[in-house]
Amino acid sequence: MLGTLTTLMLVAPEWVLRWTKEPRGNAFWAEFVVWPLIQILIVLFIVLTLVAYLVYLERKVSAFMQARLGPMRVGPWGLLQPAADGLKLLLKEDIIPLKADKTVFQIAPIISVVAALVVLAVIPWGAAWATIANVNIGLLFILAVSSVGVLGLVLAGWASNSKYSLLGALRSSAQMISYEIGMGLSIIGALMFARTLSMSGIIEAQQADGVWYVFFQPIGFIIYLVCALGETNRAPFDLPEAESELVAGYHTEYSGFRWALFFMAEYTSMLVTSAIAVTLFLGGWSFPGLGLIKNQTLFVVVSIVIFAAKVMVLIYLYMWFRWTWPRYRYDQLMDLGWKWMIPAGLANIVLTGIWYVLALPKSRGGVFGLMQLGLRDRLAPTRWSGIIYFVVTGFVITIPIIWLVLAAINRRTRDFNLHAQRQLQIKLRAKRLQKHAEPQAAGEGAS
Amino acid sequence: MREQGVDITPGTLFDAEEMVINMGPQHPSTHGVLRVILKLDGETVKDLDCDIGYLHRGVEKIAEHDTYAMITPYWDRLDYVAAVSNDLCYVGGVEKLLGIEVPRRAEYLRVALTELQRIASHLLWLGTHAIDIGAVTVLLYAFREREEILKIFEDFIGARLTAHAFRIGGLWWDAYPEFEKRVRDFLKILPGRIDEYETLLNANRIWLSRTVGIGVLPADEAINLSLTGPVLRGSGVKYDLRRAQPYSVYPEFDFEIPIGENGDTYDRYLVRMAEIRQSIIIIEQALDGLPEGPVMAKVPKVIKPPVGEVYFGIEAPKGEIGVYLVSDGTTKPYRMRIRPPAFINLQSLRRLSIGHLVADVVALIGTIDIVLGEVDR
Amino acid sequence: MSDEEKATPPEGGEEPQKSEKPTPSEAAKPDASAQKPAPPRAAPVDKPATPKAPPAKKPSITFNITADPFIDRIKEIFGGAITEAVETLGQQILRVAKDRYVEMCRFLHDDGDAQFDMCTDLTATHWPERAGQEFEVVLFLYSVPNNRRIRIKVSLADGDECPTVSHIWIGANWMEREVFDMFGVKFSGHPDLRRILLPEDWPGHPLRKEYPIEYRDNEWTDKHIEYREIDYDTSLIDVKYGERK
Repeated sequence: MLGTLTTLMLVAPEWVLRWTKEPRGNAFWAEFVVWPLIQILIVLFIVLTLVAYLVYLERKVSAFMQARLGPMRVGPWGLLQPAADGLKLLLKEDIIPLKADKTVFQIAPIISVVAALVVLAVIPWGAAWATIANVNIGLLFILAVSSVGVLGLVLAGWASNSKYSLLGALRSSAQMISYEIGMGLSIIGALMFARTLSMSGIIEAQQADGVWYVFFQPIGFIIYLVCALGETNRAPFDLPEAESELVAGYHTEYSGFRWALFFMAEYTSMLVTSAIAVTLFLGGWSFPGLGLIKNQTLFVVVSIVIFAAKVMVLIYLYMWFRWTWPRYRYDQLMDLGWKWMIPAGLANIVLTGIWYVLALPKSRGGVFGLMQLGLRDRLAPTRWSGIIYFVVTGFVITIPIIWLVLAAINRRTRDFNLHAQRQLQIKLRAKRLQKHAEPQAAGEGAS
Repeated sequence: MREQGVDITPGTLFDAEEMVINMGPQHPSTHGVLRVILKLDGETVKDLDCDIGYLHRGVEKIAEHDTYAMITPYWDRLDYVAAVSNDLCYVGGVEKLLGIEVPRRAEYLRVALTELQRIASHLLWLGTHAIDIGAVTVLLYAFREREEILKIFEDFIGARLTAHAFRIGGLWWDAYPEFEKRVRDFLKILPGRIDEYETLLNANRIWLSRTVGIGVLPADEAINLSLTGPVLRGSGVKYDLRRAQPYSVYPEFDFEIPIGENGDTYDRYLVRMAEIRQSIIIIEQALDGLPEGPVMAKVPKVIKPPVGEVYFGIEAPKGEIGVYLVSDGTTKPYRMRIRPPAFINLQSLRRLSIGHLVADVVALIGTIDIVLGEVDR
Repeated sequence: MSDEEKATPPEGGEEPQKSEKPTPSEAAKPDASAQKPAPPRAAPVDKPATPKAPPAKKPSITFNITADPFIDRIKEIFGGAITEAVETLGQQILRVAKDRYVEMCRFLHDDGDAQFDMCTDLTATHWPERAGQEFEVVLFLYSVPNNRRIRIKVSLADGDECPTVSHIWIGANWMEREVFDMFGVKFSGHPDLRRILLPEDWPGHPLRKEYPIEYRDNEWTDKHIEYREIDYDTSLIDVKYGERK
């Protein structure tokens, strides 16, 4: 069966060719139009279903965190809930406010969702044929396209002609722009090691080095995670749609499937940012021992599963954050973006560069074995010295230095002067303990 | 968003323009049908006006046409998340007017129920306040414990929310057999659960940055604004009617009055959490010392207080709820005035909010702890 | 107005209180049922007519405050302006003339002995049959340092303006607005005297005694609710609100 799958994936273009009855040699339509369309449909189908089930997952995860059950009514354990939700949203009335800018109002969610979905093309879902398009500027493409998404939100907020929407749009544009900077800075460190922007290339580089870049780039990874939360408008940075303040932010006036498109965009971009994090820092679809699988098809399938599992871990992390933490205030969010994330990202780039250059002269043509990754030779033996050097510099030296830098920058706002407040709590606690102790002592005395 | 008739000229285009935004009466975080009209510069609040009255039922007018006993259920519907406390206020006022001595067992049970209600009300406050600030999970945890209290109420009184717990002269029912055990069981788990909320919130950086230093109210200003309850105590004023002008059997119990120091949102949060713990201590004492005896005093069938007037205030979870009864000697009060703590506390919202951001307004509405049923009456 | 009269609201029947109280339920039942259908709609003078309070003195409830140095001092300072100083059920009540009301409030707030720094409540009562003194503004003061309460009353004629105390206690602001809303008592000098609970253009002031309890203002509702013509057979439905044209 697995064999059939590979054959199917590899031979399918041929079939398309035959089906379109194009003469051999003029495979343009088959290879560049029909077959990509089929691929797109497959990926879209899978991803959109996945997104629907991410909503289900989110509801279940939150339910379990909150001591309740979550959706239980539609299907066993509520498994058909996404279908019911989708149906409901499709059938709902599409309300457009009277004073709204109709065209822009209608286009905005489409921009938002398209920007989120286009990015899926270059994500390496797995080994070999599971990577749909191996563009050599993949990462750049992702960053460029995903920042178009903010346009959708801004337009939606503006076109709704509602004050809450407008405030939400303003917040989201400011937030996404500031966090994109931090995000861009955070990945540069990893790119220094990968030396390529191709998504598949980054994974291969990590395989060649025999290490995931999260070990070289702990700070970069953390910054990336935080900025990705901000970029996707997830809690605790969900200010653009902060329901307790702005009702629903930029999509206050949306209903029905247009609203669902925003929702889809949000979850898709969650998926995308997690996928980038996995690719850049967690070794993509690679996993120790994966090379032992000799069957090519099984190898690809397992690689897809591994990739999905890693993405899911990150998404679970997102959900965990969301249901644990309160929401930042707008100015605090900006503070965090500009005074913590961006300086940390910059410092990280500088320090990583320094460690890299320091390592360079020692053995030109093979710095600790790591320069081999330019050769993309998977069989080259790992130089443990190189790995240890970068892990140690990354963890032991970079983290304290960056901590110092941030402490210096934020020396005024770092603490909340909680001494006074804490005293009250401590006093009350002491009294409480005393009270609990006294009756016991009295009881003992009496007995 | 410009007001009508304002020209956009290059001169005014880049000036700081104010945006008038209407928060409520249908808004997720105004705790009911409060309408707040905000004048914003960017996101900073320049001015604020509260528009209330969407839930006005005219309870004070209705009371003039009902007999004394018939009025009690209306009090449940004032502060509907602390119905038992309201009942105690009204019933206590009428008893004072009539000069009725309530049996001690009834007083002890009243104290136990009222303090349970205080815990329930503070738990609800905690949950909604946390959800305003964005911490959703606390709400469900708090409701889990509140549910236990409501179940105890349901078995005792017959209703969960609008309890109609007390009658003039005592209680209608004596405690059911397992009442004491159930309350004790609940009190045993509660402190651990409160610790749980505090781990989620107390040292949480985001929670701190959202509450510390927000809406600071110095003590003298808080007094001048007529604030009562935890909002006043958060500013460091040790004013609690249970101690200041004790009613019922409170003088017999040993408990602390927690006060804050800085008068900010965080202190008010700490005060309320500490009050929950104090309430636990009070209930334990009330159950320990629960005397035997009747629960209903001898009350005439027709309640006809002598001519006169009385003010009776108690410490409700929201603050001092009071009743001012003017009797003309008939079976109906000539005038009944409700001293609504939330209404009067809400007045401070303008003073608290100006200069803060929109997000803080939400937190501040939460920290005042209003219930619109009582604000609008 | 003397001390004794204060506690006897309106003139009414001469039914003595004592005889009513111990009567068993048989006497109570007809009384209650007689009262119940009584509050019919649009009966403005209904309520004030019913009170059966004895105009006789009730010394057990109301008496002059004796041996309270603080009250004596106030009496000394304000002299004739204090027309009443009684204690009922352990609660002290002072009645002050309107023209020295603010002065006295200022004194109570600032004075070192008094320090009534909190205005617990401010409300009013309506006594339609007291000619020239229809309204009574009641101020509840509390002193946090001294843990003491006092109640101040001012009598006003219908249409009189009461001076505001919202500049002394900011907290009185909304309470005065509510009194204005409910009774129509205007507070001169109030910074923001608007209706607070009812809509701006609501006719009448509900807590006045002449305001009926069961009352639906169709005119106001008409003005504010947008009607839309709907095609349905009105003969089948009992239309209560639709009679507009």
